[in-house]
Amino acid sequence: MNHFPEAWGRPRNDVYGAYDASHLQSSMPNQHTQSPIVTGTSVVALKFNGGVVIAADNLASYGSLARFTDIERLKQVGTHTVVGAGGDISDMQYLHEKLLDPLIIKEEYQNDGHHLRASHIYRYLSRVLYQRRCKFNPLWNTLLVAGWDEGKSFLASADLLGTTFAAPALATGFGAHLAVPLLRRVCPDEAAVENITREQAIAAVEECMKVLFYRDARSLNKYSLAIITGEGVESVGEGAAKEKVTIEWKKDVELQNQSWKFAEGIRGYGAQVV
Amino acid sequence: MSLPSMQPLGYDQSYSFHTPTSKASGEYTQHRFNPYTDNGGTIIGITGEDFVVLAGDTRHTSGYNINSRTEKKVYRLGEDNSLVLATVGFGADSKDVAETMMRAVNDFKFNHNLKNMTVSAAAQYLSTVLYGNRFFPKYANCILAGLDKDGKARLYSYDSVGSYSKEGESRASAGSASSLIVPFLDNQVEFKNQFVPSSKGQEERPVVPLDPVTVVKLVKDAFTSATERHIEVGDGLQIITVTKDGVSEEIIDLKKD
Repeated sequence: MNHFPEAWGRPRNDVYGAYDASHLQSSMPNQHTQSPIVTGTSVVALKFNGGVVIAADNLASYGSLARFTDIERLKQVGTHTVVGAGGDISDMQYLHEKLLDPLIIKEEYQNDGHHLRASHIYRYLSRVLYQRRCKFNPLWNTLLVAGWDEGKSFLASADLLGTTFAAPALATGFGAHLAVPLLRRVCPDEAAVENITREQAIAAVEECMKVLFYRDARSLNKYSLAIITGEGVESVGEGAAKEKVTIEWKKDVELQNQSWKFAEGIRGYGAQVV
Repeated sequence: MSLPSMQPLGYDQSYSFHTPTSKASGEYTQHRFNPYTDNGGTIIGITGEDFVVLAGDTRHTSGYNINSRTEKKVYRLGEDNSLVLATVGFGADSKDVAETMMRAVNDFKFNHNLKNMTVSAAAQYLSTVLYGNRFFPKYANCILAGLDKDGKARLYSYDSVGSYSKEGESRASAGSASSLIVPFLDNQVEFKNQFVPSSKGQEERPVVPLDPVTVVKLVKDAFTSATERHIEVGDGLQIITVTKDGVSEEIIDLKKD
C-alpha cells in the first residue's frame, strides 16, 4: 500500500515506468491565428421591397487550391436570419457550431413566443468578433447578416476587427470591389429599396455571382442563394397581428448564360504564341 | 507555413496606416495580425454661448472602398440630457467607446436618483475610459459636448489616450480631414488673422460668440470643402444641435464621388 494519496489510482511506477507527463503541457506556446487557412471568398447581398437576397459560392480554397467544392457558406440562424461568411472556414464553423447553434437552442427553449431576430444575431456576432480581436485572437471572417427585423429588411456587415456597418447593398472580399458597384447601380440608397422587386434583386445578385466567377480566381460556378421575405412585426399576445418570415433556399445553383467571348481578346497569358 | 492571403494583390485594408512588415529576428518575415484600421471620416464641434453643434460625415471607408454612405458618427448619450459624443478613427473602437459612454451615463442616472451626469463629469469619465486603455489604446478620436448646469455650452476634445482640457474649447475637429478644417475654424470661429479694417492690420478683430445659423453655415461650408479635397469625406452630413430647448438632428447630402 502506497501511503501517498496522490499516487492512488495511478499505474504503479515500478510496474509501468514513470508517468510521462510531457503530453500534459505543449512544448510550444499557444498560437493565435495570424492568417486564414481554408478560405471562402465573397458573399453578396441586396435588399428589396419586402426582404433580402444573399448569395455565396460553394468553394473553400486552400491557398490557390480549390480544396472543397461543396461547402455551404450561408446558414440560417434562428427563424429570421441568414448569416453568410467569407474568410476562414473553420472559424465560420466554430461560430455556427459552438456559438450560434447553442444560442438559438437556449433562446428557443424559453418558449416565450420571442425569437432572436436579425439585428440581435448581428449584434451578438459583432461583439464576439470585436472581443476576439481585442484578445489578439481574431475569428478570421467577414460576415454578412441578412434577415427580417421589426417590419423591415435587415442587412449589415461585421469583420474580424469588429468593424460594423450597414447598407442596402453589401458584398465581402473581392465582391466589395466587383459586386458592390453593380449592386449600387440597382440600389444606390435606402430609399431605392422599396422600388426593387424580389425578381430584380435576385437577377442583380445572380449577375454579380457571374461577374465574380469571371474575375475572382478563388470563386466557383456553383453557389447558394437565400431569399428572406417578411411581413409585419413581431408581436406576442392574444389577437396580435402575426409576423410572417419565410426563407427560401436555392442550393447548388449553376451559373447560367456565361459568355467567355472576352477571353479571346486577352493576350499575354496561356499558350498563344503572340 | 505561409499561404497567400485571401485578398487580391495590392489590396491593403489599412492603407492610411501602412506599416511595413518587419523582419523578425532570423530570416523569416513575420506576419502579424494588425488589430487596427482606419475607417475615415471627420467630425466637427463648435460652441456658441448657450448652444453647441456637433457634426460628422456619414461615409464609412476601408482603404479605397466605401463600405457605407449612411453610418452616423455623432451619438446622443441618452434621451433626456444634453450630452452628445462624436467619435472618429477606427470604427469598431469608436462605436465601443460611444457604447461605453452611453451605458455609463445611463447607469449614473439610476445610481443617482434619476439625476443626469453633468457634462464636466461625463468629460472626465471619457478621459478615464480612454486612459484605462492606455496600453492597448482605443483608436477613437472623440469630441464630447453638452450644456452645463448654468445652460452654458461646453465642448471637450480628446486624443486616443484621453488627454483633454478641463476648460473645454470653443471649437474642435478630428478625423481624416481635420488638418483641412482646423485652420478654417481658427479663422472663422476664433477670428484668427482677422483685423479691424481701419487699423491697417494693427488691431485684431474682437472675438464674439456666434449665433446658431452662422455656426451651421460654417459646418456645412467646412464639410463641403473637405469633401472636395479628401477622399474619405463625403456622402452625408449629420448635424446635431444642442440648445436649452432640446437636441435636434439634421442630415443633409454631401457629394458621393
